[in-house]
Amino acid sequence: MSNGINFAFLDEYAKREIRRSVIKAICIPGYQVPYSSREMPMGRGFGTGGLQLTLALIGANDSLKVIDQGSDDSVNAVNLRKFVEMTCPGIDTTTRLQEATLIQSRHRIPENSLRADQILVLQVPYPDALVIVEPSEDKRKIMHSEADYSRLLVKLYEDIVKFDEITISHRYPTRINGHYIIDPSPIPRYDVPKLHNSNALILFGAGREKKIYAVPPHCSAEPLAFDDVPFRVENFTDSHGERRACKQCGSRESFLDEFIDEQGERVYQCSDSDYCEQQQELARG
Amino acid sequence: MIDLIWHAEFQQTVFRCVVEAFSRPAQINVLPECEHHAAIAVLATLVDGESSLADPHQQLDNTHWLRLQVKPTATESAAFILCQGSRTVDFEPNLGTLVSPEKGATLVIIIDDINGGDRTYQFSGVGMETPVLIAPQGLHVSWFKQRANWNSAFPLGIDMLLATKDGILALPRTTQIKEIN
Amino acid sequence: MGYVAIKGGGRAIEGAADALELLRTQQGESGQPLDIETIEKQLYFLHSRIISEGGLYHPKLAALAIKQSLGDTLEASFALRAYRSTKPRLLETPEHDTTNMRLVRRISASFKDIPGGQMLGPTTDYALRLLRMELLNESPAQFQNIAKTLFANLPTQTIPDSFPKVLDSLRAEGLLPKVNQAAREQPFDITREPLVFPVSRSAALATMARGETGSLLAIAYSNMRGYGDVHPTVAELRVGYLPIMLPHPITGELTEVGEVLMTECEVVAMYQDNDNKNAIPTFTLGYGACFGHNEVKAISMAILDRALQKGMKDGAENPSEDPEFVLLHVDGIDSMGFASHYKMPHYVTFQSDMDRLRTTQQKQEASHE
Repeated sequence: MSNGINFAFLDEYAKREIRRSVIKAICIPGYQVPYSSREMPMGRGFGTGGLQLTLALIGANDSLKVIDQGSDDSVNAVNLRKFVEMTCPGIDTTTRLQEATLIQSRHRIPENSLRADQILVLQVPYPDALVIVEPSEDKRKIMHSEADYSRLLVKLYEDIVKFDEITISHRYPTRINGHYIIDPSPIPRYDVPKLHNSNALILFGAGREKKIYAVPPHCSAEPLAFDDVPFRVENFTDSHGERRACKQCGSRESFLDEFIDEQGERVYQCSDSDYCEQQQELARG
Repeated sequence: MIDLIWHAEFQQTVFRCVVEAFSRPAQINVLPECEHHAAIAVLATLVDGESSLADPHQQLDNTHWLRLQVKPTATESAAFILCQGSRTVDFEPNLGTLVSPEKGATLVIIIDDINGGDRTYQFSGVGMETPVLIAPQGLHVSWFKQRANWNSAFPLGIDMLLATKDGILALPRTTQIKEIN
Repeated sequence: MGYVAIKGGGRAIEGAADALELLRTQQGESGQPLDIETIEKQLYFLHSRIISEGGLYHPKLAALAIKQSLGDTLEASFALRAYRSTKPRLLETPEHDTTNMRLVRRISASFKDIPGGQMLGPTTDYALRLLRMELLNESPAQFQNIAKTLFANLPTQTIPDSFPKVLDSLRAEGLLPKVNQAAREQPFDITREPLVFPVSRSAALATMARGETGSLLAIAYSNMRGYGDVHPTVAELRVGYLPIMLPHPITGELTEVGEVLMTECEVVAMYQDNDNKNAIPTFTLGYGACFGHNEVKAISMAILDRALQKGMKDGAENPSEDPEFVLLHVDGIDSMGFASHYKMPHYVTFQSDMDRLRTTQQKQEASHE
């Protein structure tokens, strides 16, 4: 190849190591498989873990969609997509969910459900849900192996005592297949139920922390909660108790971004830009 | 001219089949066409000098070992074990440890056919919406018996991949197997 | 529309790349592009740092990395490290003995004189840090003359190809533990295997060898100042060229394929309780080594090696003795990447944060009413 760059950037040994880790991650749902994690030509924290997964998976028949904060056009999504286009000649990229076979995302799971022939790759900054109660990885590994999550539950309980509410906003601890608790990456709580019984394989890549984990298709994913304080997703109702709508497409079902427009008004808009555009196309007929 | 299975492009397509197989256990996945047994294609895709491989039933020849760039390892410690399904189980694989269950081995087992055998098994668990029935041919009864022992203390255990000439079927350690009479 | 902040991302990125390229070439028509060899030679210590933190001994590409990153050490090491990801590991060298180094400098703080003698070599240690105003307008002729004059006055006696090591004489006297051949481990390759704690000493050394100089220095300094008690003496610090031997692809015979500039530091620290009550007490050792000429880094690493060995044996009492704390926080590529990533949009998670805060506020207000 020109520029001396391999197809999909990584050398074949690096890909094989990632591939072996992916297989073990699928076989042990929710367990963080350590891997050596090569340096990528973009910053640690910019999705290098997700990118290494994408590069180990992608082939000539794939159509790739890259999103960040739900949008295909945010700077980081553009940057990652350009890099894959540059290093993987012959693959397709798309912004439409239904055309994609491989979706790499940061902070969101698409609004519409995924299909069985799609793979979702999520970028992960902090792979371990236990990090909020235990800084030592050595000790956390032992806690995971014994499925000892009592300290995490105590943290949730303390929240309820202090605030009468679980204050975890995103990265909501979720138990996979009744055993391991994962950090589902900084997706909002709104997206957590989509992990449960998903049609598609969902892979998580943490490049800086050097971990790969998976929620396989048709696997249970239960957000931690108590019987009397249930898990709750983000609330988008206004002061009259009405569900807010996207100002572009009018959807009252999507996760909304809130911002102040140039007139100083607070407005709401779909975070998933592809969903929003397709809703508008439907409305136009 | 190097055989197809040693090419990066081919290995990528095989890898996607293997991902699909482990994601949806008990589903039959046909590999892209090549001149080798599916078991060899899978090893070519996943094994190199930075991994380890055991061949207790001597299924590999010298050329395979050279191409795989790996030296034979004892079955007790190998990450991958190539097995002949018609034989009885005659080794103890690495089951991993509680803090490192990923060290549990992957068994690639050569069988004659995915179906048509005289024992029928029901598979259920992660990756299957409903239970699936399979009757593998050329798989000695001891394999699933031993598997139950090896996988009795999750997350410890082994993951299996049954390989016919051109197809694969995977059984990760989460799959429950029951014999149907 | 208020959404523009994240629309047009592609164009914005191209614009940013152009703006950076303009910054690099802002001298305009009067500017001269930096020559790769000039960077390697005249920015010698910067170049050494990049080779070391980038973890790849490629002098030419290290100089290129410095040039394209406008001298940013973190960015330059990063580019070199990312280049390394595209290369397979084809061969492994056997263990190398640094006694074979062709030295340009070696000093010992523990003895007035050492076998083979002290050799100060190029160092700023005793220089007065006064700005040399004459260099503001140094002409090429003046510059070239310096080397010519210095070469003309070189002493004729030759320096031996190698020097004995100070530690060997300490060992011979029984002041240091004997090398435990049985405890020698297969070196851990941090580029091929993830660190899973507890890690071996070789994994710790490899991690520090490509660690970020400032990060290593800060943690080592905390130990020196009292958050720890290594109190090292530099037994030997050496800088020089180590011949690299590889097995010949056909005959298998070890063959010299080149040499690498490296810095090595061995510190001796006070003796510790020994598990074996009958054993004779000895000094303890700390070891640091890295590519390039990086003395502060090698010393910091040697102190941290000693501190970590103590922590691994008796449990960590200070941050510098905790392997997880030290090894997971000294990599410049990891830490700068993560610090930079906070500049990326985070509005989905912030939306989620606002939702929790508002809900909690409403509940508090309701309970006060």
